[in-house]
Amino acid sequence: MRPDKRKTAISLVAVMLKAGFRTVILILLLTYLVFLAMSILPKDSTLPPENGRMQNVRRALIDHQDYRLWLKNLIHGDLGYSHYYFGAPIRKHLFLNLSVTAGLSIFGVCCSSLAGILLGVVSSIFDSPISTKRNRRFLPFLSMTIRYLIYALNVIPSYILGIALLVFSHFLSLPFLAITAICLGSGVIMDIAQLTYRNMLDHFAKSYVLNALAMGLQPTGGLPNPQKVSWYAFRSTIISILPLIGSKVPFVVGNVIVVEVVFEFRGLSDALLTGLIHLDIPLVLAVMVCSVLIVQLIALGNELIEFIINPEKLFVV
Amino acid sequence: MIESYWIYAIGGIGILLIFFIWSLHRRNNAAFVGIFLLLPLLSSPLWVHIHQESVHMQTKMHSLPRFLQPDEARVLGADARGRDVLATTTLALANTFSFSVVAMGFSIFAGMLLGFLSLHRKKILSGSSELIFQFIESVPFVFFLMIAMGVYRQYELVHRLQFTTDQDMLFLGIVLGFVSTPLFGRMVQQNARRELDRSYVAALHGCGVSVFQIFWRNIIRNNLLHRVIVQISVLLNIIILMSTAVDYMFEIGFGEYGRAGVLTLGRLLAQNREALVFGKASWAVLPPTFAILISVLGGCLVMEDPLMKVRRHADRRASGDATHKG
Repeated sequence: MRPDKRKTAISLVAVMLKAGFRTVILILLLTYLVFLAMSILPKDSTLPPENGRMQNVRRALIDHQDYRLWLKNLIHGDLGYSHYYFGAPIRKHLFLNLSVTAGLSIFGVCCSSLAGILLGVVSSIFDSPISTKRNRRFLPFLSMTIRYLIYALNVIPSYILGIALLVFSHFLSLPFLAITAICLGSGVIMDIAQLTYRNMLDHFAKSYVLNALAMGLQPTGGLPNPQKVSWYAFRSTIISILPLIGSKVPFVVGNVIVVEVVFEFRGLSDALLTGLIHLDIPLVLAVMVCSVLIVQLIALGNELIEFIINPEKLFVV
Repeated sequence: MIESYWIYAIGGIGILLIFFIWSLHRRNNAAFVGIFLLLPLLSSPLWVHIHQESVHMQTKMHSLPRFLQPDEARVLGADARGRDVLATTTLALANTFSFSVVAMGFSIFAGMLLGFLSLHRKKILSGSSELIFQFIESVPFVFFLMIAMGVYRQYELVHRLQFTTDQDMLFLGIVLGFVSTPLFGRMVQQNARRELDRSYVAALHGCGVSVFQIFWRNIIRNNLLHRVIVQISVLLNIIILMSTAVDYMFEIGFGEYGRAGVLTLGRLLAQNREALVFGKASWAVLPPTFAILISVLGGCLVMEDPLMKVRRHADRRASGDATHKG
């Protein structure tokens, strides 16, 4: 058992180091490009208003002129000072905004992934050649109808869905409506459902499923469980779906930003718009760092789940 | 100022013809329905080019009373700023299509270049291309668009410049094309890699066929061309959704700076959101909303035929059943 544990630990560290290295490179690249783009604009328009906290404001202006200094401060966990917020430290100001965006993003990714996987699994089980005859009468039609309903809903942009939900639902909470708009409007559900559906059907057609049936294992039921053959097809399918979910995270975060504007949440979109309008470079750079961190953290979580599910990953270092 | 729409009109007719030939080739009925749904989008630059003067007059602010109801003279009524809804929707569709064409062109060119470079033997070239892909994929598209458009608008304002409609559309198109480059580049990378791994490529190398000829004949012409057509419709959908979302957000959140630039469907919806939220003048918001939905649905239908998919699956199931019986 000991060598296996060692290999697992090494693989886990390798996955985390890779993610960390990727995050650092992306933060450096993105913040430098943003800094260059915003440095094109004249400095005269970035003068702060008169106020009592001049020391912080002066520091904010130094940040504008020196990217290396900003980077040095970032290593110490200091995101700089915002001149728009009268020299207030950005870290404290951004924490609330970040929690709103991160919360919505995580819920959006989880809900759309779960809904997509559930829809794909149920559709494929009902359509599979090994499903029981009782299931094959009307359930394929039902699953097809639900799939095309979701297909149609995914065509509608998230902000239109958000407004429609806001207008027609007076009793539900705003975060719930926002998450619904993000899930349905980002197109992630349909992509995941389609991939799950195709992969599950491909696995049902493979010889190991026939062998398992011949060995006496029960065919598919309503949902996969370890007593049914569909469980093994489901496990193999999940491994191929997780990278897709990881690649869709930036789309979901993008939709979260748009939906925040519709529902007037004070998330990262608010801070970014403020920073752009008032040419507050440290604020914009801090938002960029936060966005990269959110995306990379969700991607890392995804990789870890994939790592846990797929035993072959243990030997890939 | 209405300019150069004839270039985009030619682009619209070209894409329409490509989709039509593609649908005929595939004998795909749903794709024909998709082309029919895409007609307003693809023909809008031609319409704007022909009726330049009248569109320009009718999209001027406050030429009509606010939220004027539809009548015989104004088929779709007037919006929150007293503009003809039909004219503004048509102009917004034409603008959306125009920068989509620029974005698609940029995305196809950059995607092909980066996709092929990522397969290059020299590590510096392949590594750089892969890094660019990962960089674009890892950052939410909205941030790219917001920063690029924000700096562009601020630059215009600070230097007291007035960019023309053509310049606006070109810039927006290039930014959208850059953001959507990995969608095309990854497809090129995967397909080219799969083809290069096959034994016939090694055989061609052995026969003395040049690398350029292998790429042109076997990979681009035989393998990638039909995928490019499908990818055009995917890109069109994504660009419409991205641009309308960002314009909606800019119009609401960016104050005076956000109101500069070309009229797009997202901007039109944001300008009429008063009608949308209070439900008092549906005629002002329904045309742009339907324009977005119809265009995206059309793109989806051209891209993949749901009925065909069901039929394919049924065929596969039938063959699978036959194999089981055998």
